[in-house]
Amino acid sequence: MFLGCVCWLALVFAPPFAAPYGEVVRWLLNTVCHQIPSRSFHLFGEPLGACHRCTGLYVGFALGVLVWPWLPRLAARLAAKPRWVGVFLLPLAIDWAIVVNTPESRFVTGLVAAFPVALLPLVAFTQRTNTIHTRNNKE
Amino acid sequence: MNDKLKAALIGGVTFGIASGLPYIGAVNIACCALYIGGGVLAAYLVTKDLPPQARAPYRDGAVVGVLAGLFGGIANVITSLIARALGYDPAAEMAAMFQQFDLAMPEGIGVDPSSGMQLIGFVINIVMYVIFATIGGLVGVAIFHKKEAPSD
Repeated sequence: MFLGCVCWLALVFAPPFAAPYGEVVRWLLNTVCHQIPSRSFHLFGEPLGACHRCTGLYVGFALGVLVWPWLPRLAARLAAKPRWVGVFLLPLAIDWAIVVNTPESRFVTGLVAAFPVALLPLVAFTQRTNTIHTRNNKE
Repeated sequence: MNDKLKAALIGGVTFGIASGLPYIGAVNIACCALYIGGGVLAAYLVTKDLPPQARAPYRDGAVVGVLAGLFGGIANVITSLIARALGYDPAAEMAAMFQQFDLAMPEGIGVDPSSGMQLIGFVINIVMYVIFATIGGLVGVAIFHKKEAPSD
């Protein structure tokens, strides 16, 4: 899953580095982000493939996939009270709703929202693996 | 019909059609809200009839999210094709929106893609839908699942 996240982030960061193909990469990500240049980070004068908020979401999710396995106690707490994931989405919703937001606020609220969400697929994967193990042990 | 399949069909198709509609589809520029919404609705429909459980059924959320994404992606493609056949131009709508907010147009938008590129675009759209609806399904289960009351 982390590899998938790395590939996705590579796509987001690719346009400034892949000059002739940057437009193709942007077109690929066009369905999931508005990509407004004034609302995107720039590298070497070129905007990335996603806006500040989406970049924050993707970086936060990738960070979550990387970090959650190393925080088993905190992960178990959050998995036991999963509605807290919704609480982490609130800053993003508030930042989105207010007209005066900054690139930093958009990036950080995206990062904060996606970091705990990354735990959910990891738990789903563990549940799936446990089911297979239990079934195999019964047989 | 299987409960999961039914929930995925309702969630996916509802939000898939909404994504393909003029103006309403533009909601997706807010962090793919409609893509994720399809998964959330499907997860809600699955969890509402489940008995309270000690652990949230994330596995069910992921499965129903993948299915909702698949159905939603296909519904989105079909709706987009019908809307375009009726004369709707999504590129013109985007251009008008950017102009209204006095924003610079991103590269690639407004370019009329060839039919080959359109086909690739539709496949990519379905893949994106599956990814984001799966996340929506997981978030939906996290929010809507009924927790078992602790026994004394």
